[in-house]
Amino acid sequence: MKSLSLIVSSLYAIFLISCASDPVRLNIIPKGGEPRIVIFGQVTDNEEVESSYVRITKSASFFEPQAVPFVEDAVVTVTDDEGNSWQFNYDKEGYYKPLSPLGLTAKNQEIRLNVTVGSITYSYASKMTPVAPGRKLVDSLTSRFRLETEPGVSKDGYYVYLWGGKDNQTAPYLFLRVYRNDSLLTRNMDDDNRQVIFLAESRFFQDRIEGVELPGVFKKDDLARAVMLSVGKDEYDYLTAISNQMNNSGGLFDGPPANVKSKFNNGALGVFLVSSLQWDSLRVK
Amino acid sequence: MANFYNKSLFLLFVFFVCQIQAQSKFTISGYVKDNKNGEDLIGATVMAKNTKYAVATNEYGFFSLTMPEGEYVIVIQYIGYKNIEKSINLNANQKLNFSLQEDVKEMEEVVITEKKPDDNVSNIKMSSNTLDIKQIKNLPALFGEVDIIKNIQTLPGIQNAGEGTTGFFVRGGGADQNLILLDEAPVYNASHLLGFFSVFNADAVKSAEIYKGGIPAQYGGRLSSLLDIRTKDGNNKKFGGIASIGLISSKVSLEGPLKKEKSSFFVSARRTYVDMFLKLSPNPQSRSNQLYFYDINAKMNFNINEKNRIFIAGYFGRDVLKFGVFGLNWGNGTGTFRWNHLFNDRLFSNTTLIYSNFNYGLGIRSGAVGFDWTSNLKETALKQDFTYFLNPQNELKFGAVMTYRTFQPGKITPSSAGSVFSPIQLDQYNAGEMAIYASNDQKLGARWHLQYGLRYTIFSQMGNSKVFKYNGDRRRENIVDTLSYGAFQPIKTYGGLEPRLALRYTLNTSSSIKSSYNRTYQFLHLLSQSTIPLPTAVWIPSTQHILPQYADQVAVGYFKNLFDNKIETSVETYYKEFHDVTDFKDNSDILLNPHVETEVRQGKGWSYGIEFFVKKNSGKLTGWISYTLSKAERQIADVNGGERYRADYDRRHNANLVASYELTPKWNISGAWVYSTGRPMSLPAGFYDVGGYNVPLYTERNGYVMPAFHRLDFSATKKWRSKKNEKIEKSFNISFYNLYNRKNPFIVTVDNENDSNGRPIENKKVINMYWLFPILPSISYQISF
Repeated sequence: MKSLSLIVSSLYAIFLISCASDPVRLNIIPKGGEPRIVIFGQVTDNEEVESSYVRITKSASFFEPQAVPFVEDAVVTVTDDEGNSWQFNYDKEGYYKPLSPLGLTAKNQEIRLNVTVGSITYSYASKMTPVAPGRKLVDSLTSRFRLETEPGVSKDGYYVYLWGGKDNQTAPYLFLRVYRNDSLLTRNMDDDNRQVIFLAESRFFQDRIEGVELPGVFKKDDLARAVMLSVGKDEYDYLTAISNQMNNSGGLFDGPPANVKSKFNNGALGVFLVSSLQWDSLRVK
Repeated sequence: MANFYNKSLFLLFVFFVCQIQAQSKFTISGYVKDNKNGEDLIGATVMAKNTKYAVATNEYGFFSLTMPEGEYVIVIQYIGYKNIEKSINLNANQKLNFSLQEDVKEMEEVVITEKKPDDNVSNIKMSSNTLDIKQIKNLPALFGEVDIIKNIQTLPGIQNAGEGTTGFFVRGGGADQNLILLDEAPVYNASHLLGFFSVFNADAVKSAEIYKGGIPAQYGGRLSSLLDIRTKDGNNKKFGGIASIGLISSKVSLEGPLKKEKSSFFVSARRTYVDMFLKLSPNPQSRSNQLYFYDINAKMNFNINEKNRIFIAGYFGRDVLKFGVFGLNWGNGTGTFRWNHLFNDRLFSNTTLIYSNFNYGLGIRSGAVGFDWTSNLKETALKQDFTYFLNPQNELKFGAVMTYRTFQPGKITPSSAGSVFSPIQLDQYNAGEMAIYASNDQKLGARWHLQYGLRYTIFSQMGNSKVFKYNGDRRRENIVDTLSYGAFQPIKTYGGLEPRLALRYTLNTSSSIKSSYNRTYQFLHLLSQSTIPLPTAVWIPSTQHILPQYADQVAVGYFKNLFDNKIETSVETYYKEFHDVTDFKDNSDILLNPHVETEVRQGKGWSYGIEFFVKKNSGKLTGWISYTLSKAERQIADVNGGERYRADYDRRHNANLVASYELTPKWNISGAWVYSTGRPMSLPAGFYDVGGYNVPLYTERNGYVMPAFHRLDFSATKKWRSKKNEKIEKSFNISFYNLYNRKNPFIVTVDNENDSNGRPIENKKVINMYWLFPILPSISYQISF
C-alpha cells in the first residue's frame, strides 16, 4: 500500500515534468557533517538462500563521487535470549559474517546485535516474527512474455509473477527482495531513477496473493528469485521511512525530507533485521 | 486570568453598546441596484447631502439610514455609475429603492469599481482587498484562462504555492487555513487540473474579497484568511449571455429574468478539452488517457416582495485524470439557499442553509493490484445573521451558525475479482460546531471608527466512532483501550472565544491610521504531507488527541490617498502567533492509518512582516504595485528534531506590479510582473547505504532556498461591436505568459547523474531544478450579448 502515495505523486510528476524541458543544474553544495557509522544486519531462520551478515560502513558525500567507506576493524557479536553468542568476522567490502550458520529457528526470540567501533559500542535488539507453521508466503513464481503495447507495460520482455499467501497474525509486515541472476533489483526498471523497496502490510491484502508482478524485466534463461522476509514493526517502519526518503524528490507533492531515526544507540544509522524467511526461484522460459 | 480576560472583553462590549442612545428619528431603507441588469450594488454610498449621515449598502445591496425629521437631499454614489440625488421630506419611515445607471463616459476612462473614492482611507477595514472582476478579465492569464485566485496571489501578504498553482498562503498561514466561501458555502479544495486553475469561473463571479486580518466576527473557522466569492444574481431585466472559446477551455453563461424585475437566473458552464487533443496522439496509450475538468454554476433569485428575497445557488465541478491504468478524480459540490427578510426598516435578516461536499476517488484498473479508493467530507450548516441599523453611528451584527460535518478519510475496495487488496474502511469522523457572534460598528465623531465583536464557538467530536486510549506517548503499541461511542454521542468538546477588534483614526481627508486584533480558532486539520494541498489530502476534525488550532494577529497600518483619491497607498505591518498548529512527525505514516493521531504533532508558529501597496484606480493607466517583507517559522516536537524551522511558505521578499492601459476605446493592454524569493527546501548533505539502498542524509529542514521566481506576462484585448448599436459585443484576447522565458523553479530534486546510455551512475548525484512553463502564448475569443 505504500506504493499508493507513490502512484499519486507519480501521476503529478508525469504530467508536470513532461511540461518542462531539460532541467537546470544548480551549483549548490550542501554542507555536510562528520561521516556517521551505518550498520545493516540481518539474521534469518532460513540460511539456505541468504546467510546472516552484518555490514558496517560510513556515510559519504552525495556530491563528491565515491563509494561508501567500509569499516574493517569492528567487533561484531550477535546474542540471543537463551545465552547463545556468535562472533562475526570481517569478510570484505564492509561485510562481517559468522564462521558457521547461526541455526536460528522460527520462534519468537530476541536477538541482539552489538557492534564495537573504536571505543563505542552500538546495540540493537529485535524479535523474530516467525510465520505460522504451514503458512506459505511464497508458493511459486511464474513468468510471461509481454509486449510494450499492452496496457501498463513499458518494455518488451519477460515479467515474473508471485503466487502466495499471507499471515496477518504472526507475520503482519513483509519485506520482499527480488534478485535477477543474484543481483538485487532496487528499481522497477533498470533505467528508473527511483529506487523501490517492496514492503507490504498484510492487513491490506486478500488471503491469497495471486500473480503479483515483480520488479524488473527478464530475459530468457535469467534466474529470478523472490525472498520474502517477515520483519518486526519497528523495522518495517524504518524501511518504509527510508523508502519514502530515498524517493523524496523535494517536489511540491512530496512529504518533507527528514532523516530516518534508527533504533541503534549512540548515533549509528541503520537497522537490524531478525526475520523469518521464505523464498522461491524460477529459470525464465 | 483567562476568566478575567473574557469578562473584560464582555464588559467592554456592553459598555460601548450602552453608549448608543435611542432617539426619535425616522428611517429610509431599501436596495441599490444596477439599472441595466438589476444586480445588487454592494458597498454603494447612501448619504444625506451636506450632513454627517451616510451608510454603505451591505452584501445584498440593502441600506438603512436613520436620521432626525427634516428635509434632505439623498445622494447615491457608486464609482462607475451616475450619482442619483433625490429630495425627501423625512417625517415618517420610508422605503426607497434606487437603480443606478452606468456612467459610460467615466467607464471609458476605466475606473476600477471601488466602493467609495476614499474607501481606502475612510473604511475601517484593513488587511483586505477587493478584486475588480472587470479589470482582471483584461489581465494576462495562464493559457488565457482568467483565474481569481491567481490574481489574489499578486496582492501584498499573499504567496503562491508554486508556478501556476492556485494554492495560496496568507501571512505565514498554511493553505488549509484559508476559508474559501462560494456564495457562503465552503469550498474544501479550490483546485482544478492539478491546481493550475481554480474552481472559480470568472464569468460567473460578481465579487471577490479577501481578508488577511481584521476578519469580521460573523466569520470563523480558519486561522489565516477569508476569501468571500459571490456569483452573479442574473439579469432581471433582459436575457443575455457570454460565450468564449480559448486554448484549453470553452465557457458559456446565460442569464435573464424569470419574471421581469422580480426574479432572475444565472447559469454558467465550463469544460476543458486537453483530452480531445490526446485522442490525436499516435500512441495508443496516450489516446486512452484522460485529463479534463468541468464545472457548472447556477443561481436563481426571487424578489418575493419588499420584505423577502430568496436566492438559490449551486456549484458542481469535477476533475478526471487517467494515465494508463491509474485514475484520479475529485470534485466539489456546493449548494446555498438564502432568505433575506426585513423585519422592519432597521433589522435585516439573512437565513442561509448551506451544503458542501468534497470527495475524491483514486484507483488502479489492473488485475491483481486493482483497487478503488474513495474519501469525502460533507458539511451541512444553518446560519442566521442579523444586521440592526441602530443609527448612522452604530450598526450591530449578530447571529449564529450550526454546522455538522462527516469525514470519511478512506475506503478501499478491490476493483476486480483477482485483486490482492482487502476491502478496508477507516472509521468515519463526525463533528458538530455551533458559533454565536455579535459585533458593533461604531463611529465616534468624524475621526474615530471602532469595530468590536466577539465570537464564541463550541465544537464537539461525535460518535459513531472509536477512540483509542494511550498509556504514555501516543504510539500504536501504547494503546491500552478502545472506547466506542454511539451516534451523535459527544466524544470531546472544545470551546473558543474569539475577540475581534478594529480601529480607524482619520488624520485628515486623505490619510488615516488603522489597527486590528483578531483571535481565530480552527477545528479542522488537513492531513497532507505535501507543500500544496493535493485533492488526495484528507480533512479531519479536532479529536480527543488533536487539539483545535488558534492564532492571534495584530496589525497596524497607515493609509494615504493621493491626487484626489486617484492613487491609494498603504503600509501595513503584522505579527501573528499560531498555537497548536499541526504537522506530522518526521517520517510519519498516514496512509490509511487508523491511528493517525500517533503521527500528528502540534506546536507553535510565528509570522511577521510589512506590506506596501500602491494602487491607481482611475485614468487610462490603472493597476497596483505591492511589496511584502515577511518571515514565517514553526516549532513542533518531533519535526526537525524539535528545533525551530522555516515554514514551507516562508518567502522573504515578494513584489508584484500589475498594470492595465486603455490605448483606445477598443484596445487595452495589460502586464504583470511577479517576483519572490525562492521557496525553502531541504537538501541532503550526504548518503548512506542500507541493505543495498542509498538513503539521503539531511542536516536541517528547509535550510536552503530555491532560485528566485520572477516572470512577466503581457496581454492585449480588443473589444468591438460590428455596428454601432449592435447588441453583440465581441472581444479578442492574446496573452503571453512568461514573456522573457524565465526558467522558474518548480521543483528541485537530487538526481543520479546518468551515463551516456541514460542509466544512473551509482552514488553520483546532481541537484536539478525543473521548470514548467516557457513563454506561452494563448488566445481567446468572446461574445457577449
